[in-house]
Amino acid sequence: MDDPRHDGAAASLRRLRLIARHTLGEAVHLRLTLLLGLAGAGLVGAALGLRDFNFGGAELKFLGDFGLGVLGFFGMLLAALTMAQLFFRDLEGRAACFALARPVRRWEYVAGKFAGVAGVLAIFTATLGLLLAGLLAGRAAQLGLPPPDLRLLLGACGVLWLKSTLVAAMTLLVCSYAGSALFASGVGLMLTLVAHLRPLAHDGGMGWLRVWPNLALFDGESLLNAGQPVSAAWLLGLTGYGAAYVLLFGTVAALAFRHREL
Amino acid sequence: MTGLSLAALFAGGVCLQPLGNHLQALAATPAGWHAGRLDALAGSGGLLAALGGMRPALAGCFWLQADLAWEKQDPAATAALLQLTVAADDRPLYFWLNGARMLAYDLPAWEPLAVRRQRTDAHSRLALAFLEQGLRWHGPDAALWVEMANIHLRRTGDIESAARCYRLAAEAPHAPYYAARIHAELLRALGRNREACDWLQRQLPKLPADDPAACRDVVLARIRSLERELAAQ
Repeated sequence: MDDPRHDGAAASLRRLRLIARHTLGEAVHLRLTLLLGLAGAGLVGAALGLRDFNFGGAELKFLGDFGLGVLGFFGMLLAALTMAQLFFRDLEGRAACFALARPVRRWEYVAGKFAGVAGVLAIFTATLGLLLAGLLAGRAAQLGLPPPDLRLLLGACGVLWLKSTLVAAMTLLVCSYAGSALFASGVGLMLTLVAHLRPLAHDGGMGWLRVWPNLALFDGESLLNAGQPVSAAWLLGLTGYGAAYVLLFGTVAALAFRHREL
Repeated sequence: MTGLSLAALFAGGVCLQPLGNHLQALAATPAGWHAGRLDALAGSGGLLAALGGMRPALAGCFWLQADLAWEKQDPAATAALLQLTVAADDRPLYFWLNGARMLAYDLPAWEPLAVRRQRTDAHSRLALAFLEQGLRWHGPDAALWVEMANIHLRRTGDIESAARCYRLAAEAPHAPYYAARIHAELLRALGRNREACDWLQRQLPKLPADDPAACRDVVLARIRSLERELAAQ
């Protein structure tokens, strides 16, 4: 890293982009990604068949709710499992050592890994979101109803993507300490569950949990059900909240990885 | 190193907490994972699905199971499955209203004749508690108040409570016009004619003349009739 050609923000960004692109390529070719993607798409499509289970509300609302539920659930699984699997595959296959033997800083490596996984999560969310939009538009046309508000659906998908990237960041933090992918993905999912139950932390002796991110805020289905576009200020605040936690988890993960023996 | 990381996480979390609270307060719908809902779902295996966002489908499955229990005339299973249904998805009024009707009107009919009378009261209380839970979880709604009023009126015979619930229904947003009229009729049945007359006079300006559901002429006629009765006293 003493070579001046390797210094500076532009060089750092280039290295980060290279690692991210490599991670994205690896993630796209993972069987797990394909499996979760196909299962998610299948379930979103199956929502049409499952609408017989809908008793409480309008059919389009049920389809939107179910589709976004699948997107959120599989997105979280994909975030935790892919992040852990890719991180430890590099460590066990010595690919991380080879990368770090080059003029790459450890934080760049960690940030690149995260960006790659965030990329695959964006592709996953966009694909399933498009499928859901098509499904809703098709069914609305069949029923003679106005098509769903695409801005709302886009906002809901964006919120779910933010949530899954936050889960990926939590798992990355665990990865920087953990000894195996299984442990890291398991703990990552447990931390996700804790973050979902975070609104209950006001009661009793669980108050200290309030420092943990509140994933219940990233409720895409409620956004769609509210039926009116959310304010830009709220969306911006939520993005800032998610980004701040991603930055916090990423910084701590990079710090821990810096001191990790490879 | 671990201590430093934990301290950084804690400090970061504390700094971000006000923003989280602010966003929670501004959210389109409150993040409603109430402890009660969690308790209800914890043993059912549905918690993970509900957290993952598949609430409507999960609630639909529980509702179907509740219907099956209803067909078998099993009061305990029906009541338990209704609780699971609303715990999975508390948003549709359909579950709250029809669940309360099952509890208040169907469950007592399955009891042996000898104990039916006393069990009717117990089941009515159960239905009222279910609707009160609906008011807390789903949020206030005129339909929930009207259903409570109907149970008070038809099952427990508590006219005072029925009148109170109809008043609350009439005061809720998007309330049906008839809630205010029935409140006045119940006040009249309780012998509180002055109160009924005042109530209807307050309601009259809010009733549109061109909406038949508002029954403006009927309300006006009732006010006149009450005024005559009060003058005669």
